[in-house]
Amino acid sequence: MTPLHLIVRTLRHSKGINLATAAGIAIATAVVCGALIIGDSLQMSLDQIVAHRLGSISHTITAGERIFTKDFGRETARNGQFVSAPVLKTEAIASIQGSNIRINKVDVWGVDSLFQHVAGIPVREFSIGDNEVAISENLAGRLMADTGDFILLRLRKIGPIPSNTPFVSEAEQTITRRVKIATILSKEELGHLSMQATQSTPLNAFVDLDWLNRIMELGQMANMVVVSARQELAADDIFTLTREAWRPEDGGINLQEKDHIHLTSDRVFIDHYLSDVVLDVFEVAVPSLTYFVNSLEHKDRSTPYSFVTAIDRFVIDHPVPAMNGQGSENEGKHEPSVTEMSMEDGQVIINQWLADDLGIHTGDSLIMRYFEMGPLRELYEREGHFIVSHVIPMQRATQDSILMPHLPGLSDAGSCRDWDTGIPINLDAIRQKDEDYWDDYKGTPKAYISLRQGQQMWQNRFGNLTTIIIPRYHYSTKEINNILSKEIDPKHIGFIVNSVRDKGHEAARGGVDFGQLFAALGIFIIISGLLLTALLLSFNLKQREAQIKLFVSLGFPRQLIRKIMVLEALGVTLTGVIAGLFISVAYSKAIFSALNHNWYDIVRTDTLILHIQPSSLAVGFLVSIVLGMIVVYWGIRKAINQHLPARRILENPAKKSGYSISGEISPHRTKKKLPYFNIITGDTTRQKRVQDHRNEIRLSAFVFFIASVTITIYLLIHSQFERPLAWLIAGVLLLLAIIIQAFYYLHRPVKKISHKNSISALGWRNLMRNPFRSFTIILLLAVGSFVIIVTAANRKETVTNDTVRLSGTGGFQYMAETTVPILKNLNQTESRRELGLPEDIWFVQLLSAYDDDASCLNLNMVANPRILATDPANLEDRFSFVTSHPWLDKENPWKSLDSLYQGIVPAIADQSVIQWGLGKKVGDTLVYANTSGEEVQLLLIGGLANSVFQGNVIISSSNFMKHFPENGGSDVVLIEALETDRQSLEEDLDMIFRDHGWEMTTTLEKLAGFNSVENTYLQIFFLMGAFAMLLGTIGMVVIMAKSMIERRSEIALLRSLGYRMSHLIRLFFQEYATLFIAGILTGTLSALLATLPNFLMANQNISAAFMTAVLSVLIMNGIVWMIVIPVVMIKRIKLLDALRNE
Amino acid sequence: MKVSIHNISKTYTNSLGNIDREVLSGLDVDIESGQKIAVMGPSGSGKTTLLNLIGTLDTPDTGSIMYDNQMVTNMSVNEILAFRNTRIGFVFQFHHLLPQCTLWENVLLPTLPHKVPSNASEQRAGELLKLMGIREQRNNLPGELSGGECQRAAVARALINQPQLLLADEPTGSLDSKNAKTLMELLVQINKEMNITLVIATHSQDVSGFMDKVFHIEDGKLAQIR
Repeated sequence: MTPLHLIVRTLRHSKGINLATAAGIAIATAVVCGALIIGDSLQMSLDQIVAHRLGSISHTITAGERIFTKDFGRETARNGQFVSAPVLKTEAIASIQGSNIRINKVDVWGVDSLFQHVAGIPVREFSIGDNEVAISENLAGRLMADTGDFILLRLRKIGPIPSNTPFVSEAEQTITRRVKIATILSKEELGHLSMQATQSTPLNAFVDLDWLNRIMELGQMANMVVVSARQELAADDIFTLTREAWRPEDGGINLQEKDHIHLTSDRVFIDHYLSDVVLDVFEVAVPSLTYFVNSLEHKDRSTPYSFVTAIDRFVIDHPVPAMNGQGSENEGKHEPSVTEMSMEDGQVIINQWLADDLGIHTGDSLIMRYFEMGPLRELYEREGHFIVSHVIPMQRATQDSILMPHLPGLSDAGSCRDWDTGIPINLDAIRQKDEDYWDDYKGTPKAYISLRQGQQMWQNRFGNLTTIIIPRYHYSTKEINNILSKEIDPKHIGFIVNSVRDKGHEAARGGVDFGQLFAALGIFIIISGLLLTALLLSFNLKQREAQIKLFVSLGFPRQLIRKIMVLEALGVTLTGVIAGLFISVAYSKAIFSALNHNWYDIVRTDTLILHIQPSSLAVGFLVSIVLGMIVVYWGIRKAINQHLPARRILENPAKKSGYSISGEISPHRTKKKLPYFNIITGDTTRQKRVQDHRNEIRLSAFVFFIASVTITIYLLIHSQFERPLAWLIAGVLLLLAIIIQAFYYLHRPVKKISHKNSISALGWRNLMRNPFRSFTIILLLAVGSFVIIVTAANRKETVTNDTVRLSGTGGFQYMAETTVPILKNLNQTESRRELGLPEDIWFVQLLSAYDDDASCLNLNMVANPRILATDPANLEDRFSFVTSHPWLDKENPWKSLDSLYQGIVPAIADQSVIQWGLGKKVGDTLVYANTSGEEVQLLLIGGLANSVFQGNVIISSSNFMKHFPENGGSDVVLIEALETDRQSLEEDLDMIFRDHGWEMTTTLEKLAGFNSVENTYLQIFFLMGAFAMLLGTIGMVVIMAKSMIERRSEIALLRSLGYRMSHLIRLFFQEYATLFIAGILTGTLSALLATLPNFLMANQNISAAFMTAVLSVLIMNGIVWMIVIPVVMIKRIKLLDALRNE
Repeated sequence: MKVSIHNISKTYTNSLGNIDREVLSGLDVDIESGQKIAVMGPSGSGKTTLLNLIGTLDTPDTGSIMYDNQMVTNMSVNEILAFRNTRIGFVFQFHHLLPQCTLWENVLLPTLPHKVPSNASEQRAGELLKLMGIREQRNNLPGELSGGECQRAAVARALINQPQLLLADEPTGSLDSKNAKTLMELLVQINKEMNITLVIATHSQDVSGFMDKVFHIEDGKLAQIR
């Protein structure tokens, strides 16, 4: 006979209760290990998604909206430290001719043979010819197309000139080509190529780089370089290496040799940074700004549509240096004598043709009318007043024809009537003599004003110079090129190396931690599982009470008893934990299956795979063992300590319970009525120590209650309704306070409870009979109902009224996004007329920069979410703010966006995005890099209640244009259409903006999409809560059944005394109903406090029906069990047998 | 073992510290080694309390108990436990055999705490079971045996560590008269053969008839009636 022998015997003998105890531990283990497996698996899945979307690509080099020579892409890798390939990327709308299928936002990648080498496509090489395309599997699926089929690609046109540059036509924004599907690419073949940190699968089309260049009329250009570098190569190192490959033509700089060297930009306006560098390096350079004005007027005569140049040093006599374009570099470098005059503000020099046309002379006044252009091509006509200071002959004027910038649609127009300028041209105003001037002199400026005044009138976000003249007698073209290559830092014109792979993994790791999430969601199950374990263990120990006493009476040392009991418990715990490990795998599989399908809304991908890491399982195993053993050891220690004075083993068993049916407590009962305190020994101090403990318990309940009330009052007074965590803490504190109070109440000295000689009094006595059991039931039910009610109160109903301006719809009925930006202001009469837009709708067009999504739809942690910009006046009195920074104007919060505080741009976002998507709070800043290489700091000054803006940050259009000037056009549009037939409106707008890749959803659908994510999380939480509640119910049922078995003789006696079945049912119903109601009420009250803001705030849309249904189910569940168990058990008791046993 | 009880008293208090009841009051008695003593008295008179005190399961409020001129009050808890395990045997009204263990294993249960050579213990267990007349049932579980057999196994368990003092609280209380008589005869035989001091608390006149001395306990006082 050994202790081990005894343990094995005991485990086998009590296998039922031991297995039940192990089951409780198994449940807790499954949840703990499941959470770890889910966390690992999601992490690995996201990392794998990064691998699929990038292949071997580690970095990209981009320059904002700029294009550069594709040789730059090739040259970057010449040092051999990495491989690179040029890419020309654009977007497209894909469709099948003759079909209604139209897929917007398709990413089109123009690639050459180098690309496959760089991207490391392992499966097979593919070739794409002219008019051919390789598409991703998902795009093929959406188009229902296969290899060999033809599709239409409407490609967003890319070029050197930024959208919305003044005088550039917006007419040809897209090009359509019919292309043949050469091959369909799987995700292993980079079909999921994407530079965005998102798990959502992109729609991709790959075309030949040269072909794409040809159809875009670009020549040999690219707008991205993809790089595959060694792990240790940092972005800065790559940038240093690539800078050597950079040439001025990569920055769109052109050098034209004529009488002098004219530096112009492909982008029409020369960037501020480039202007500064050139003027700084070449001191002799002459800057100029040439602008297209609407009219030049003198008295009643007017000359329409002319170019006017603003320049500081005007060369009156402009001798052409003796030069030969093909000659040596030094040829013509001698400085000729020139006659210059300085331009003064208010003066204008005009050419002879204009003087003749207007009949104007030196000293006469001249009015100049011109357009100033808003961010969405809004035109505001301005005028300037000048005095003619000089009239130059046409022979001199023609020398400046080169000053007219290259404007597609204008420079190459055969006649004035062919002009396509991007501004309205009044063709009636154009006379024959104007056509003749165009024929003879093209865009030769007709007038000259001072540069300062010209820049005041015409400067814009794209630049304030169009040409810089560098005298040829100082520098040759080659010298200028070399100097500029060295002096210009490409960073300042938007060239940037992006560590896409590292950032991708970083975003994946920083995103939603599903391990923590499911551990948090399952915490109540873990608690319930452990409580159930403790409960079952207490039954087990109760049954073995006599054995423990026997061991004590036989002189077993405490350590031996503990060893026997602990080893027994370890066996039970190990069984539970090992079973739990297996269950955890099944549980994780079930969760992943649900995530890939039923709960797709929260992950937006079906590519999640289960990955079990042994280290995580080991951690889960150890944690579970520790948790299980803590519970078990606590129970055993309590039992051993309680029975170490084993004298009662010699007592008459009739006295042992300390209970008599009359409800009186025997003298012995008073010795054990406070089992919690029985660990205290020593009768002399016992009374005081017991009282001290009682006071401590009561005090802790009071402290929790006061803390809860204090937090609640503070939150109410300061209207802090959008601090869910604080409210939850208040609720949990209240829950603790009530539970501790219940503990105190149940452990009160019995004599203090007043009672009458009634069934009710008997019921009360029974409750006190085993306070631990009664307390555990209350605790289990309180925890379960707390979780369920909190979940139910957070569940959002779909918003049904889209006209409320303060709601998440902002009072807008539709939100549209486009593949190709809309460059015009759709609210302007001309635009409405031109496009055929209905008059009774109103648009808010939003400009955008960056394209990462920080909404709840993205599992990755995004550092730079998409910026949306609009005039704050458009959003006045719309949406609701839930958090604010002192800089936010309380009266007109949106207006605060127009401010600029020491270069910091104020921004507003959804509070959920700030908190969860970005991991920040109001008052924090987001740092962006703009195309000038500057850091732009966005200060979050306000948080919105759930709105259609989720995933974005909003700034004012004025600040946007200052910091992100080249992002032109709007690709997000909000539409207010209150008085319109919505059906026809949807069809009309879809048709009008078809070529823009218009995708319009109702704002209600948009919000419902976001709500679906939240509700899916809540659904999971609810299921977990329901499971916790189920465990609570099981606990209650077990306790009821066990208690009834223990009290068989008592029931038999009561029946023998003439108690009717109804009396007994009433007795037990009252007993358990008291516990049930106490548990449910405790949980419900605390949960209602935790979710109070949801009831107080107007825009929370709590589902009252759902709440009612949940509460009803909870109550019905309890009532059924409280009736069924006593009836069944009482009926099963055989009166005589039970009495005989007694 | 000689047990000398001098002026012991025991009072029970409730959790509020109020004196509930004085059970024993200035009680004196000497029990000589090898004597058979019966303690009789009405329910609640303090018989069990006296056995608890003698068996070191409880401590008196005042007075002392000496075992062969040795006091346990100076011992540590573990020493008391070892003392109880090796020198005192208990037989209860209910057998309290472990339902999961066979009779053989139940008898050997008190040998677990101390490193007694297993062969010697097992040999003694066999002898005791034979002495109790239940050797054939050694591999049966308690649930498979009669109350009398179980109670005899409980006696064997009490004797496995060769105690010098055997305390029995209503040992025949749950047995019929035939089994009660058999058990008492066994106890007397053991007392005689092993020279074990035997103290029995009982209501039964039949049981007291087997004893050398009979004491009556009432109102906290002990009086020898035979």
